[in-house]
Amino acid sequence: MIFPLAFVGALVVAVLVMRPKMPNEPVAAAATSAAAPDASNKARSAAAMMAQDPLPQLLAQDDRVLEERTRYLAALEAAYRAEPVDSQWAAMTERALVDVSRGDALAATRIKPNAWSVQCHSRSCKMSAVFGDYDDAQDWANFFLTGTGGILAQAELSVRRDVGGTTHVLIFGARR
Amino acid sequence: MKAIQTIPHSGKRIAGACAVAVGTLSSLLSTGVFAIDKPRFDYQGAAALCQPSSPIHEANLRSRPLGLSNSGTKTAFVTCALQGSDPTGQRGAYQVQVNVGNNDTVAKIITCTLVVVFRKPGETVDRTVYIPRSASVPAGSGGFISWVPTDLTGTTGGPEVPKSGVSCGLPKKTTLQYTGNYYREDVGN
Repeated sequence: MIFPLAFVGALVVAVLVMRPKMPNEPVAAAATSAAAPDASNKARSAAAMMAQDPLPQLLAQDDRVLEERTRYLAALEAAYRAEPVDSQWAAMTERALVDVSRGDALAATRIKPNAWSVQCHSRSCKMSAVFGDYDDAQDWANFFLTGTGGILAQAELSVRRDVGGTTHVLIFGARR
Repeated sequence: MKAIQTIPHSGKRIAGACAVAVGTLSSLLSTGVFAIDKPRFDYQGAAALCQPSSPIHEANLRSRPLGLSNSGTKTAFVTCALQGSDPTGQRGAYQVQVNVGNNDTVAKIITCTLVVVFRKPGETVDRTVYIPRSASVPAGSGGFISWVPTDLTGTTGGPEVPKSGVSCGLPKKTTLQYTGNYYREDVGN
């Protein structure tokens, strides 16, 4: 019963849409007001444009995004901290991750992380490092994660420029 | 003898029923109830789709018709930008893969990571997730690494792989041959 009704409804809509407009029919309000601007309208438009300067909105949006990103990372950190420690798996995985970071493949990139740390609990690992250069940080993190194929199931990466000019890499990796 | 009964206005009823049937059918067709999905597989040669991840890896990578080969003595990293369609366009990938070859005389482990960016419903921040995988490829042979949506369990929650790229570490004498993308396409009625 619904489909015939839908068909009839569609026909009615199609007829309404295709119906020609009458000559004296009002058109869109915006077009009418734009067609005959006077001096006061121009002044109002300029004021409105200034009021609509997108920069403050964009900056506020950036702040919101940063805030949410920070909140999200804090949630990952909290989940990691709440995990019990499986010492056997943690030790084995930490060793494997450190091996990747010290392997030939990463050594060949000539990018060296500072303050590199790896800590695993029972379902995830937290890794962090500091770099002098932002692009080096991005590259190294990407190469490192590419090398973790047999170790981690997935990982989330945060690359953040610090106030002092360094870049901080934070990785949360999930157990396979 | 039984009189033959005539049904008044039976012709009109049949015509009415036909109109309803045609209406129903066209409604069903227009709503895509009978739409057919065809499985598709697109592959793209790595020589075109992939490139050295940084200048330091460039010198040892050779672009050949059937792949990007590492002719150096150390691992070279490459980045591949996968081509695909947005999942909301109903052509999202249900599997992506990279095919690799080993030209050496010993087995090699090749590692690649799929990098996806997505936004969960209700979130305002994009999330970037790395899904690293590895494959052991016998000497003189080939293999592949693939990713499916369930690899992203707990992240996107979607039935398709979102927008993604791949990073691979190619040990010496290995080749990244091509990338593949499995998807379904709505071919209409």
